[in-house]
Amino acid sequence: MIEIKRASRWYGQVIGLNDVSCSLGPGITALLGENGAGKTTIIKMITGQIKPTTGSIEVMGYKPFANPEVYKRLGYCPEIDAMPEHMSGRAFVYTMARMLGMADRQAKLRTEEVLETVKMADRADRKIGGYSKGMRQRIKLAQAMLNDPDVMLLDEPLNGLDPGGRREYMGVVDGLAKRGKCVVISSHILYEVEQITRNILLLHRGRLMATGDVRVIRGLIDKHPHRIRIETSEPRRLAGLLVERPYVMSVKVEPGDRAIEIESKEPDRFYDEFPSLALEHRIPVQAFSSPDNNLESVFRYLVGK
Amino acid sequence: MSTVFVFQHTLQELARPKRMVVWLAIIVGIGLLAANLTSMARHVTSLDAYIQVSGGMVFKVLALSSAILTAAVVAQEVEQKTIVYMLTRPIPRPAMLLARFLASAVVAMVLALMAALVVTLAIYGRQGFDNEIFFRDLKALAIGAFAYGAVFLVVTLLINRSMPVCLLFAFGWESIAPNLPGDTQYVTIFGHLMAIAKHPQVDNSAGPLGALAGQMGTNVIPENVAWGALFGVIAVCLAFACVLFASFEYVPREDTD
Repeated sequence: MIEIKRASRWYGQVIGLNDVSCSLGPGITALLGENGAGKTTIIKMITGQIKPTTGSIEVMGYKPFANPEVYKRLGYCPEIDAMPEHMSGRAFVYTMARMLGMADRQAKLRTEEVLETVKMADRADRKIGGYSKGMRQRIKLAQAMLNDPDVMLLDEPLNGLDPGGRREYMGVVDGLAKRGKCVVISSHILYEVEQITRNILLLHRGRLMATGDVRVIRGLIDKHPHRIRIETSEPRRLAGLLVERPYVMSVKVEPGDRAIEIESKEPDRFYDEFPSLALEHRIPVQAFSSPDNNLESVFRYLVGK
Repeated sequence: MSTVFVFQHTLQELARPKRMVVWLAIIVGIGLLAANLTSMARHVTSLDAYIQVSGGMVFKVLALSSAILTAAVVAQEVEQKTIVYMLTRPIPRPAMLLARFLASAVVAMVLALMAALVVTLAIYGRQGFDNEIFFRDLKALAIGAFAYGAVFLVVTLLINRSMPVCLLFAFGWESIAPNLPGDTQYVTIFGHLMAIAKHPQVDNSAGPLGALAGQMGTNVIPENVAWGALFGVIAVCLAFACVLFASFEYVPREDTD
């Protein structure tokens, strides 16, 4: 459905995308890469907002730049949160439906359907200006689904969604993919992508570094220890519990006794088991983060540095 | 159908009560000034007052509203980053642009016509409808809304943050050039609008209001030339704007990821 042939894009002196070739078909494909990797550039090219400086892009057989034929069958959920703040979510989605060529009645019906799908029907009369990030993501998804598109592009769609929201959101996207739609999702979080699809395009500094099964990337990542920082008021007790786990390689209590940092070669197993461990031993956890940027490790490995 | 909706939707957006309040206040202010001008200054007749307030203020309201409303056609959407939704709709870009432009020009025109109506009622009362100049003004204001809008549309597509340029043109060039001797008025929109409105040279026209009304110069543009020039400007500017917008790339500065 999407054919990219040796596409490059320059922004003045800066290269946004460097000689990328790939083809994307039905199902979910994840564009994985750090900030500045070129994910949004590819998405903007596919959605016809910008042209490649060299090379070519075709979407459903058409060049996408400013092409209404493409937009009839394309849904796009941009990364930016900008929307008309004074409008209600319902009015915004309805407006988008009318601009897709739907008549008043059809647009109203379709608006209600997509708002139900993204679970915003009961909150859609509030002004967008008062929406949370998660609500904005849902409204953006709703407008992208209006025309039941064959190609759907979602730029960092899970930003700002709570875990429940992510599950619901991914359920909707999965449903589209199962109906044979081509769904492209960009993300810079590998764990997020793994839960969505196995099919990835790995971008780094504008170049396509790897394509294919996410498990290959996972294998590379698991060769590098994964660091996780946990803020807790009982760091030493938690450290004692964690150090007994076979998947934990090291535990360090940070100065001040307010947090610990662990290293694990099986982060998935850690993430699966940690909540029950904390609950069982009544360990209060204030915050939880991964200071280690695993993608950077993989990129270093791939470029042989 | 989508293009008609774009026009209706843009019209609704531009004529939102929150936006209109300021314009209505300006129009009422101009009406009050017009009503009191004859009593404020000696020897100022009703005709003097009408010519000065109409030329010096109503036509400036037209230029100002055109500048501000035209910015909403594309430039404002770019600044607010909502243009992405506009550019990914299955509507040809020129049609999208023209529908939005038409809505902005209609709102600017209606505001200017309202201002003209208020001024004539404030000065002449119901007899204002017998005033031939008033009806010529309406024609000039109507074409002026499209002429100013078309010029400003090109400026907004060519220049980022174009409002200062538009305002400088509307209040600087358009105020000074018609008062200059020679043919400079040919390269103004206001000069051509005055050729259609045919405002007579009035007494007591010295002063800032008279200068704004172009009363310090003599309009030498024939009416038919003015109509032709304005239609030409509108056609050329809109065609150029469509070409520009059809090749327009939306790349927010911080979004070059």
